[in-house]
Amino acid sequence: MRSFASLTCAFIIGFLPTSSFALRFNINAGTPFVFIQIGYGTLSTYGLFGPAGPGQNEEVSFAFPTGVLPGDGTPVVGTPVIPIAVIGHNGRRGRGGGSRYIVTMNSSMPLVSGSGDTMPFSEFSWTTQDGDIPGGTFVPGTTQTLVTMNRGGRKARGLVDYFTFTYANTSVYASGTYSGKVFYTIALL
Amino acid sequence: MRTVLRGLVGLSALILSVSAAAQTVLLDDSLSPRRNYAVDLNWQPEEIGRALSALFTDNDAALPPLTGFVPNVEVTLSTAEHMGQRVRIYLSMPAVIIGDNTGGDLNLRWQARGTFESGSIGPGQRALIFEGAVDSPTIGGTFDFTLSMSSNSDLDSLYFEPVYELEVIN
Repeated sequence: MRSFASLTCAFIIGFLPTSSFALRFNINAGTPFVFIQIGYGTLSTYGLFGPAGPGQNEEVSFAFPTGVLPGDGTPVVGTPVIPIAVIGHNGRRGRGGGSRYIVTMNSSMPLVSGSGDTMPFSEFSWTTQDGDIPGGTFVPGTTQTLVTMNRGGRKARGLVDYFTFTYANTSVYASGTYSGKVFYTIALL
Repeated sequence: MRTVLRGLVGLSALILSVSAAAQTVLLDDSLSPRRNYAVDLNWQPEEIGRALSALFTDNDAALPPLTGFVPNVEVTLSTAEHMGQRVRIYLSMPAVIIGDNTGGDLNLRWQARGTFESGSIGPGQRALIFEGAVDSPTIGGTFDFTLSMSSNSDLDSLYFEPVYELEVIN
């Protein structure tokens, strides 16, 4: 019995930590995160929207069809269709669950031609393929809400939709090629 | 007499067993650059597509894990006491991690450069990173660590310290 006790003692001593640890991982408490992509971008590499075809990019062009005159009120549909993907993950426990985020856009900077003439983004609107994201018209000068996700339950929710942009063609502008950018932002609620 | 022999055999087996277990020691890694890594877990860009697909098909099981990357971790282990011995060295994760509510799906994997082997472990597990003769007072290498958890886990703040175990082979 004595020898068993001494053996047990030796066993425990053998496993006592003799080291000091230099490496520690502190994992943050399920930090929420959001993600947005407009257009094909890098995710085409990973198959979300498939590989971008020739000529597909994030730039939308509006060419006047034959018989349509500038300012005659005939809408001009832009090409190509542009995908959008958004996703949010609520992260930690104790946030009430659910997934809550907002996507806004800013179209305050007008389109500008090579000669410096400008065109407001209010001339442009969009529709979406399946309505997950509502259609609308750009309102320059404001932070415009594109879509709000505010649902309980799942921690992660995402949206994928496809924009078709349209030029209203209700005004006459100086001739030229106009270009501009709209900025989309996603934020946690 | 037969009973006595059985008793002796049993005793010797016990002694051998304890003797083998006592060869496992924790290695001192304090020569490594001391590092305290804060890790945010999320989906990497290449996982967003998979995540969206899983969400749209209500297939939570297909959601990719949340991951965090900790590259270029230099590790130096003190092996002076084992010079000339053949040893196995393991990287292990504690079985109990305070704050881990994931039910054990925390995972640590690594790509090793230098002396060590690549591997992967969960709570209470260990993986072999070195086997061979110790011919220097220290053994070192570099790890690129990836931490991951199920995206459905209830996450709390947690921390843990990987430990290095050495077993003498001969």
